[in-house]
Amino acid sequence: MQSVVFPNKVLPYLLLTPQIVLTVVFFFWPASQALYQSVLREDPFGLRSGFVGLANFRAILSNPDYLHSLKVTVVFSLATALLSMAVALLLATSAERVVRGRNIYRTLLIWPYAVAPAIAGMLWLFMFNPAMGTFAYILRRNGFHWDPLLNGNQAMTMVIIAAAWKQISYNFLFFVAGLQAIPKSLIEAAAIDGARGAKRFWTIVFPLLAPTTFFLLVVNTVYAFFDTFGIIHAVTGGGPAKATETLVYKVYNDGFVNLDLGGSAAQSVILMIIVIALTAFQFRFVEKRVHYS
Amino acid sequence: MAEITLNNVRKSYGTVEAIKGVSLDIADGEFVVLVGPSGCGKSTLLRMIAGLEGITGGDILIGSRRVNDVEPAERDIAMVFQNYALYPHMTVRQNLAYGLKNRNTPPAEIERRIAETSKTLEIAQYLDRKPRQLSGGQRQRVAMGRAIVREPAAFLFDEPLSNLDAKLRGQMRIEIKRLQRALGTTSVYVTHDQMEAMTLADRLVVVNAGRIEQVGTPLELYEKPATTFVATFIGSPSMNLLEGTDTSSGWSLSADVPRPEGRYMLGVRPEDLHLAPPDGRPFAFQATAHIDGIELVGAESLLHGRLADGTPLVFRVSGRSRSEIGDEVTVGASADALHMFDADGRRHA
Repeated sequence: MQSVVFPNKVLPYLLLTPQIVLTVVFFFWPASQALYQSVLREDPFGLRSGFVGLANFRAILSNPDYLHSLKVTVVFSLATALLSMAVALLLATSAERVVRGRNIYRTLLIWPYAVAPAIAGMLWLFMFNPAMGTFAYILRRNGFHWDPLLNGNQAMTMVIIAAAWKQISYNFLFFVAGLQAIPKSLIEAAAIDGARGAKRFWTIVFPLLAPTTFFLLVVNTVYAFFDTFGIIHAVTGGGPAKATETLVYKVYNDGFVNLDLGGSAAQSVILMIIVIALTAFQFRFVEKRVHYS
Repeated sequence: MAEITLNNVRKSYGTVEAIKGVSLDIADGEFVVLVGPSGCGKSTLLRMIAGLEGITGGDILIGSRRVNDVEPAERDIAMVFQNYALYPHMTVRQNLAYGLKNRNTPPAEIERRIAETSKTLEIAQYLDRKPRQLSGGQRQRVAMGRAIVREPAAFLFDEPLSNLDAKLRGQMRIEIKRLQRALGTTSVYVTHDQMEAMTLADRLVVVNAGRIEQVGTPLELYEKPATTFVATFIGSPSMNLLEGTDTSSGWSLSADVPRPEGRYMLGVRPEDLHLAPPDGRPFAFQATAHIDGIELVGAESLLHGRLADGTPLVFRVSGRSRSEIGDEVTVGASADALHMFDADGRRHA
């Protein structure tokens, strides 16, 4: 590749500045602040803070609440990613078969992505709120004891569905594109080779969608880890009894509600490490088994 | 092994009729090539035989079984696609085995057939590779192998050689022909390349605008084209067509040559035009052309000329041309080399 040389020495730096400023202000600065704060402890009045080394980390990792939150996050993230991807794949394969009005279906299916997480959460809250929700009423009338304000599993189910619902559109878009990228002649060859329906899907279509699926797995896991704060905050507030308190929610709760800045910062650092490790792991191991044509 | 019969087959997309009633009998073991310009419906016809396109009207029979509503998998055919359509996530071996596995062939039998096929096609050393690790020619062989290993009643080829370079295409052409002879499997082959069509076919079917123009052996089509379309489509370079009125300028036809009444078309192949009569007898047809292009293509030269009224005329001379651009040249042909067509393009007697 030929290297491009700017005749002007200043211009290239000037062009890069906005991006660099954004990255520094909104990523490196907060990240470094979190690292710095995680080794400090503040006095109860917020007047002084002193260096405590790794004490914050030790405290967190020996705290059963934190380990519980970790477990909640794993369940929540896996369930959200799998549910949203499975439903999106189902919708995408169904949309492939629709001939008339295909674009209308696609457009409608993409809309939920435009809804802000907190609002998506509120939508589901309104529908399933035990006091006023329509669906909650229907569930109860049919003999199902629905009360997410008291039952942790039900609360968890609700936030998972709300979080997955919002992500379905995004996944759907990528799956539709992935399905369209599969050459039609491959499907035809499979048809002549005697593979039909489910068999054709699992032996031909699904393996060929692997790059898309892998990409979405990474995106959805990161989404469930970080971007679902708004939904949890709006729907359950981490409750009942911390049943839906994910790591990100706990960072917020400990730091900004309980004002344990050092502990909260230490949690953020751990979270950062988890996501870096997760992404590295996915790229290192899962990608190997993925076919890129 | 099976014969294939098309009985007044039609295909419409909405109000557009793509196939306008095609009837064709393909004998058991025959190699039939469908040839025509792009968009003529030849691929659609093949895909209808395969079951990948629905049939609007008429019947398709494979081995005397009506297959109009039979799934592609149950028609006992194998197809070789233009882009090979190998499954990219499977090894060559898995590609070959896939169709057999789906039909619950016993593993030992699959193993035996793969061994046999890969030996015939010389792909045994690639069995554990993925398609993307193979060259175009090797992929082509695997695609053929996937068809052969199934031992189907018929092979369908959809322009299988068009993605290969010219040299490889020539080799594969000979190989396909050899294989088909050895296996004796009925084959339908679609191509737009008339050279490929001529060399492969037992019988050629020229398709134009959703209809069959002519069916016959390559030689029949070359020597006795039924229409001006076939006349210009078969043979390279194309046959010269001159519009015949009695006062045509630039060329003459001796009075004893039979011709249609009124307006007619006169066809003469570039290779039948000579500078001097080869047998010493005077030409029945003679034309004077103004040379405006010379192509040297190895053993011979193609001379492009124009008659006085502007009609193009192409002819061949062996070796290098002694004429130059701008020369006036008189060429002629004997009476039996002339093709006469009615004004509507049909062959005259």
